[in-house]
Amino acid sequence: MTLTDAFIHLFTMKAFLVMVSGVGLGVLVGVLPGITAGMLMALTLPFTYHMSSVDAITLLISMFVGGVSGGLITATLMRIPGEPNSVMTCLDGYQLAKKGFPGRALGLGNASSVVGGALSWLALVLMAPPIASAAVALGPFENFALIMMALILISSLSEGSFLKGLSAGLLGMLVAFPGIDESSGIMRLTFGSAELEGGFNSLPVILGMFAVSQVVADALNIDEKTDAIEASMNGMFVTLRDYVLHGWNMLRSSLIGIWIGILPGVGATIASIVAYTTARNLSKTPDAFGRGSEEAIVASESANNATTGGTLIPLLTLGIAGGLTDSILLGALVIHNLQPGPLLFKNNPEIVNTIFATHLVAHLVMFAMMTFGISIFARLMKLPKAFILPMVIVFSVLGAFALNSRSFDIWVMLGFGVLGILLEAAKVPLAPFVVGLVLAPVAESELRAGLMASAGSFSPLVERPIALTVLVISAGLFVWPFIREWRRARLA
Amino acid sequence: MTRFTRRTVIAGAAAAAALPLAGRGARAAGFPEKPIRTIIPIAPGGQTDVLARLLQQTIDKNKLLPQPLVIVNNAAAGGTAGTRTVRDAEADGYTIGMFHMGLLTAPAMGVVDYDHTAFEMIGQVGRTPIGLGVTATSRFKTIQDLIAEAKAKPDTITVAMNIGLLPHFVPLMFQQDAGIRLRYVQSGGGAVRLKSLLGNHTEVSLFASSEFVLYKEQGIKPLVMFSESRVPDLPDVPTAREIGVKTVFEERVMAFAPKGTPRDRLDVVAKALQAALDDPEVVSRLTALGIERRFVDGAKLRATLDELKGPIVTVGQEVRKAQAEQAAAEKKP
Repeated sequence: MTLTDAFIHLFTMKAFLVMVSGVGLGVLVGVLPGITAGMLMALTLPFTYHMSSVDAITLLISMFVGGVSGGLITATLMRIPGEPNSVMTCLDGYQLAKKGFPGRALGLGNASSVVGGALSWLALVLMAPPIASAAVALGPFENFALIMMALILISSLSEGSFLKGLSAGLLGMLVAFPGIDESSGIMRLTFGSAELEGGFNSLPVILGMFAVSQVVADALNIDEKTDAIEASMNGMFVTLRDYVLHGWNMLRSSLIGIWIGILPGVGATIASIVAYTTARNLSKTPDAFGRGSEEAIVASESANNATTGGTLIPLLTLGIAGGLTDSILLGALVIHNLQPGPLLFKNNPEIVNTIFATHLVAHLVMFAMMTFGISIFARLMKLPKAFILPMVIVFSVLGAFALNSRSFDIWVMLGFGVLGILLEAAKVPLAPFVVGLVLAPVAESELRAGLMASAGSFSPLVERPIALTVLVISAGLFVWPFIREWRRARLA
Repeated sequence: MTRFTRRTVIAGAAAAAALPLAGRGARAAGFPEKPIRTIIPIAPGGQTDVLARLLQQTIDKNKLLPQPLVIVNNAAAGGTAGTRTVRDAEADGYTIGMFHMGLLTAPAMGVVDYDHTAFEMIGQVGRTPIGLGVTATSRFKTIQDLIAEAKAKPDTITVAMNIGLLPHFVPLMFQQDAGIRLRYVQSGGGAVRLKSLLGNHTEVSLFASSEFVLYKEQGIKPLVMFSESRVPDLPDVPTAREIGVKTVFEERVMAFAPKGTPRDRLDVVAKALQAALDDPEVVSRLTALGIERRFVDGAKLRATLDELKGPIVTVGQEVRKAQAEQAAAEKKP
């Protein structure tokens, strides 16, 4: 089956239905806070045993694509991330909606999602083998340098106080510490508690910080008339002019998303944070970020969708799964007797082409569905909050529990909900917290793997050309905001 | 914690009270009357998970049990959360677990304080030959080359490992048996170790025989296998024994239940698993996955694990001693 055949096959009755239901379910769980695409796919996995391998892959990829996208709606309309990767969209999407432009915010987010997805598709189809061999050349020191680059970018994320942003980031890192130490295999900071051995999983923590705390904040103001997000859907259709206006941002953010998608264990949440920060650092109006900036929405939503193509590259060429969704895709392939790697491209081109074709068409279907769905969901905003908030909590509890079937994770979520409220009250930005939480463990394990190989010597960091280059760029990115401020001050 | 303890105590008391009343046969006749929760202490998608799900599907499809197995993945804390759930569950046959040799390596690493003896073994459902491999372009053409260089320059050849699991323990056992010292680098699952070797970030790693078959195209070749005799898929690769090193080790997937689960209930599950393993579809799938599908009953498995425990514990002590020494060295100014 060639790629053209795969596209044609997708438009046969059965395949199309499979894809549409996959995208639809994906978008739905994306909208529901707490329930992630990974959980949907884990639940679906057993049903795919009885399908043909092509149908099974079509279904799972469609869910994957739909799930990454749906979170945008909840983030924009309720300031609650429907999916962890939409935390940045909460900041500006909601503000823009509050200003009376929910249609515009959602339309831009949707358009950026499809552009990010399509660009990552190009990278996947045209460059998967070369990117994969380049990725193989990246060792622990290079990966560490790349992650440091993302970490450093975030230091400029702190709205207002640098110190507050930094503390939030460090607090996030601290929360990542307890549990099994991936580099030595021993338990640390578990205080003898068996529950803590699993550590604080990032999903319940993010749900608590962003969803629970927001629900409590909303509940406290439940009598206040909703800020009347006049569900004006004007501007839902993005014009060609917008694509031109935001074109560079979409391209840059998508490239960031693809790059982060390829890195192991980092994921779409960090991609959108890095793209957001980069957009802010390069923006002519950085002060608008956090107050309903269009650029911010574009950056965040292009980047998280662009990770989908990026993640599939190491998955298909090497069989490396970075997160839950990828391991489920990998499991589905293995169950159908398909092993990722160069052999897959040779022996089962129909599978590779199905993945390629589905990845692109599912994005288009997602775009159409979101356009349609947005106007329905926007009406939800007119419902009294008393109906919606309890549902959000129910789904969050479900999601936190479903992750590892542990009730401990529910308590973690509620606990971090309280922390989220406190931090919001102290005007501490939450995004650096997420960055610390997600990136610190990856940075640590890469660095320590490198040090194990070099017998404790740090010198490969400056001796290996890629690692050195990335570190130099990071240093440049670190000082850039200061230079910009200084130049502004001088001009003023 | 308290909840679990309390529940276990109540369960134990209830079981004790029930014993003299109900005849064993009568209880087994009705078993299982509800679905059996099957805990898989790894994320969906891994080989152990695939095998478990394959068996679950087959049991369901062929009606080998009146009630289905329901798979619950709990990958938290490197699998220890999952095994702990099985250990603390009621010993009524309605909770079982399926896991690999992590069941023995986790206690050896000191991350849990219980090993296979804390469970009733239902049986072994799969076994995979494993061995050490390098890239095709490696300067090591044979395992003897590697041993010779490791003897000349100890602690220089890098091994990509997955800490606390077989890719960590088996090379350690091999180095002990061969009298060499290698340098260990934390990497991850099979595909991640493959990438590490291909990128020349590390030089040697442990893979399953099926992985060697798969990765041949990508330029990975086996140097030595740790089976009793040569692996049919890899007829040219010597076993460790052939080169005079005594290491024999395989990955196993095992089914187990909480301590005290009635033997007749274990037998019901064991029978179903054994029958599922004979299903023609399972046979072809497992062959493709490189898993030997010989069923080994609980008593035999228990004896094998008792035997394997010794070397694993020794290696674990070495690892922990080295870690403690390193920590002490770092504390010195």
